[in-house]
This record gives sequence, structure tokens and C-alpha cells, in this order.
Amino acid sequence: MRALVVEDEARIAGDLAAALREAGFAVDIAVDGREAEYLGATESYDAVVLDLGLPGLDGIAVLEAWRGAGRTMPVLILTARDAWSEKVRGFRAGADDYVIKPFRLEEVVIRMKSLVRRAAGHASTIISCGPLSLDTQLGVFTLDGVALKLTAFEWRVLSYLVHHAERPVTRTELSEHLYERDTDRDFNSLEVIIGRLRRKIGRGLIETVRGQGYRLSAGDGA
Amino acid sequence: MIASSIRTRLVLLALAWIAVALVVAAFVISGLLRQFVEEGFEASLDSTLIALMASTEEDLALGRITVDAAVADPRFEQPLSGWYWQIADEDAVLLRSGSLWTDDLGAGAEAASGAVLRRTLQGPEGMALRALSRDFTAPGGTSRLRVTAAMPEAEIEARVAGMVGPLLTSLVLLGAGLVLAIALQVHFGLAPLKRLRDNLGRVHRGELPSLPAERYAEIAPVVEEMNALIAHNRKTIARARTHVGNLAHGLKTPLSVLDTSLARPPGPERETALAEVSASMNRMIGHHLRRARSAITHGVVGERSDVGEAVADLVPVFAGIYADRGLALETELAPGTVFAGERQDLDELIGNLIDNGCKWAKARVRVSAARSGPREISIIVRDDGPGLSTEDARLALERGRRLDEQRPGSGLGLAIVSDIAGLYEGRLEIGPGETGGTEARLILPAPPLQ
Repeated sequence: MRALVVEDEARIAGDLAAALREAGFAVDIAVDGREAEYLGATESYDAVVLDLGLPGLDGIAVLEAWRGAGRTMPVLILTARDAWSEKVRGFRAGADDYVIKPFRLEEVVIRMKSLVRRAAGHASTIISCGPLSLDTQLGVFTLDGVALKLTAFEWRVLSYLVHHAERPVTRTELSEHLYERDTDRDFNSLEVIIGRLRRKIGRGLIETVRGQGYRLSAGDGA
Repeated sequence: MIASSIRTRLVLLALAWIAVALVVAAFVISGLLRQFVEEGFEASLDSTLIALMASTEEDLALGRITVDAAVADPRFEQPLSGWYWQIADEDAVLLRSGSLWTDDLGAGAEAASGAVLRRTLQGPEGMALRALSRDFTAPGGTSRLRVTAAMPEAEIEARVAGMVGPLLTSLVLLGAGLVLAIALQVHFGLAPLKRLRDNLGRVHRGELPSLPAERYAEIAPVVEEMNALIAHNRKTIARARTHVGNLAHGLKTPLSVLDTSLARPPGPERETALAEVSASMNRMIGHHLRRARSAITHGVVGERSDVGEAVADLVPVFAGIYADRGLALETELAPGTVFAGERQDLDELIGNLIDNGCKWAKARVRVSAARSGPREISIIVRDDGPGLSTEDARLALERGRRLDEQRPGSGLGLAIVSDIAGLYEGRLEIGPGETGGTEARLILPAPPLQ
């Protein structure tokens, strides 16, 4: 899962990014409206934290620009103004949820997880695929009820696959949602991770779709 | 200053109009007078002609004509008086008045039989004359004679002048009277405006609390609006003062907690205390900001906000916030339900009500709105939650409660709703719903029906 944090206050941005990374997100940070607009329009994010009071370009304008360009990723807005009119303004521009400043970091992380989950079409906080299930709020994978031990990166890969279970995910798509900006994207190491995951959860769940990618599926076992 | 006063404007307009009317009247009336005077003189000349014709005889044997009775008017005998007559045939003047001496009045143009010929001419000594002539044949004669009588133009002019003089004087007097009347009318007519201005000045200086009522239909609404505005201003200032006071006071408690916490050694206990202080300060600031905001925006005359639009905009917000709860948010809005106030306040009112409903609801929240009186609308939010006890409802609505006793959650939102509604002279009623749960009924002012 990859998230964009748009916040001009460096300390808050840093804290948010750290909390989101802790929760398994790959996080990019934008510190002004222009940069945010560019990143949101060109990179693939699973969710965005957007502060409304931004230098350069107002948060609402950034959001409208994204929606105008057809970007549909869920957006959580941060605002200091606790008025319903302000919330209405945000939702009209295309926001999916909001958090009032000052906020608790855990609150934002929980909301972001919910947004990602709902955007992938899952109503329940627990996503299951055959014997595998993910408690999105706790961030714990279980296989037949037994907790899995995963590295951070393995967790990130499996989390993306389980959110998008039953459909093929190309390597490019997968890498776009796993790596932060300015990090090397290496298909070979991805291949290695998939191999390790298959060993941990059983070969049948992650299929290789001929030509390009993978599919997590309850498959014939279910 | 003078040029831009309504009084000057009215007087100047009246002056212009009166001047035009009087000048036109002077021309028309003096014209009529001249015509009347001329007709009078010509009638007397004509009767002289008729008298001459009646007394003229032609003696064919002697070959001359005689006038058996002279014209009585002595002016016709006084030499060069300007009053002349003559009787002439086609060749020569046969008889003339004594005043004419040896001069003649000329022949004049051909005239139709029986008609009076009118002309002006230069008489003896260059005097301008008005002359009338008639053609006739004297009894006993055969030749065609022309009788002419003349009078001085100057006499007509003198008579006309004698009448126009007093006419002009009386018109000028009339004009002066009218101007005076207009000035008085303007003065007394505009007196309520002047009084209004004076009263405003007194209100401004603090001598009057509000403007005294006016009984004139043109000013009464202005006075009412101004009084409403003055009252609102006063209320706003009072509220602002209370807010600042409350906020400052309220912050002192957490501040002292902060001080004592800082004195303690670092540790989880201090962390907890600091977090509590931070939370309580945050709550307090949020609360006061909300109240202050609506105190600022309220009171603009003629504000209208559509309830349907506000609800339609808010529904997606709740769909987002409570996405995981799967709540059904139903709306039943009578079209044209309009709130006489700011949209931002309406958002705050409805937003908090629905939010409260959503917090307690099990599965559904229903929002309905309709006009419930000539000047009021009702917005009702029902939830299917556990319902509120009467005591809880009272507590939720109670204003002026100490802030540090307020927990985040439903209580705060409803107190704000009740507060804002109060600013608009509306009210919030909380009670059990007809089918369980809680029903919040918000009564708000509506703009008057057309």
C-alpha cells in the first residue's frame, strides 16, 4: 500500500509518514500544493492525507485538480476548521473522509486503512481469501486462524494482493504500490518475495498469470 | 451638503415646475386679454360704421351725399385725435370726420360684399391706425360707397398694457405663494426623516437605547430594521465579550493543571495529565470558535438558505464518515423549505443534528423538513437508537454549563445547535421518537411567504 502525505508543516508530515510506514504503507511526502498536485496526478497511491491549508495551491484546489484529471484514490482531508460547511466543501471537492486538527496519529492511520479497504471494495474490516485473512485494523494476517510471521515488505506485498484478491495484478502495478518514490524498483527481488510468500501461505494461493503478473485467489482449494 | 439634500432637491424641482407653469400662463392669458381688448375696440368701430351707413343719404339731383346726423363721439371731431372716419367712392373721399381734416385713410383692398375689411395703416402724422371698412350703397343713390373708421393702435396697446401689468403682478405673487407652500410642505413632510436622523445621532451618542417607533408607513420598516440591527450589534458585542471571558477563564484551569504537571517528575503519570490538558484545551477552543463564528455571521438582513440544498450537501459527508456503520440516511424534504439565515449556520445546525443522530442510530437516521408556520420551518432528525432520557435531553441542551464537565460527543453538538438556534430566535426540542429512538425537532425562522 502506498500513501501520499500532503502537509506543509514538516514535523507533522514527518510524524504522519512515520506512523503510516509503521502501519505498512509506503509513504511519499509533498510539502506544497503544486508538488502535491503533480504527485497525485502522476503516481499511483492507495490513499492520500491532504492538508487543506497549503502554500502554493489550496488543498481544495489540489483535490479538485486530481478529481478533474480522473484520479479516484481515496483522500482523507486534514482541516483546522471544525465547521460542517468546511466538511461539505471538502466532500464536494471529492474528499472521502476528514480529520480535524489537532488530531491523534492513530486516528489518521485507522481512517487511512479503512479508506484503502473500502476503495478496494471490502465492507468488513477483515478481508479473507480462502484460508488467508487480514485484520485490516490490527494489520495481522492469519492462515487457517494461525498468525503469519511476515517481514515488513512481505506484509506490504501480501496486503496489496489480498486487497485486490481474485484479480490479476501486474508486476508494474504491484511495484507502483509498494515502493516509495526515488527507490529502485526491482522486479527480481519482487519475484523473490513472491516465492517466499508462497512458501509461507502455500503454493496454490498466489497464481502466476502468464506473461506479467500474479493473482491471489481462493482458487481450487476453496 | 445643500445640493445633496432631499429638501433642496424637492424645492428646486418645484421651483422649476412653477416657473415654467407661470410663464406659460402669462403668455396664454395676456394673449387672450389682447384678443378681448381688440374685439371690444373693433366692435365699437364697427358700430360707428353701421351708424354712418344708416345716416348716409345720396342726393342724386345735387350729386352729393350727406350724413344727416354726425357721429356723436367727440373724438371724431377733435383734429388728429387718431379717431377718424371717411366715406369714399371709387374716385375720391366724399365725406370725412372733422378730426381727419383734409387727410384720407386710403382706399384699402377689395372686400367681399357685406364683409368687414380690417387693416392697419399709417394715418396722418405717421400714427399707426387700426381701420375697419364696409362697402354699401346709400338710400336713394346708385354709386358704391366705402365707409371707413379708424382708431389709434396705441390706444389698444395702452389698454392691453393696463391689464397685463396687474396680471403679471398677480402671477408673480401666486408663484411666491406656491414656493412658500412647497417649502412648508417639504419642511413638514420631511420632518420624520429629520427626526430619524436626530434620533440616530442620539443612539450613536448613547442617549437613546434604540430608535423610537415611527407611525409613518414609509419610515416604520426602516426604523424596525435599524432597531433590529442595533439590537443585534449589541447582542453580538455582549456575546463576544462573554466568549472571550469564558474562554480566558476556561483556559485558566487547564493552565494551572499544566503548571502543576510540569512540576512533577517526568513519567507516564505526567504524560497522561498533559494529554488530558491538551484535549481539554482543544475542546474548549473548538467550542468557543463555533459559537463565535455563528455570532459573527448571523443577523444579515434578507439571508435565505435552502434546507434541501444543505441536506443534499451534507448527506455525502455522513456517507463518508459513517461508511463502515452502514447507516441508512433517509431524507423527506418539502420543496421550498427555506431558512431565514446564513447557509453556514444552517450547515452547522443540520450537520450537528444528523451527526448526533448517526452516533446513536442502530440502522437508520431520518431527516425531514417542512414549513410549519407562516414564519417558521421545522427540521426533524429521528434516529432508531436507544433514545434519550428526559434528564439527558435537558443536560444536552443546557447552555452555560461548565466546559470542563463536557465530554466530547453528543452533548456538545446539541448544545451548539440549541445555541445557534437561539441566536435566530428558534429552538431545539429533544424527545423520544414515535417509534423509539430520539427525535430532535429544530424550529427556525423562515422568510415571509410572498
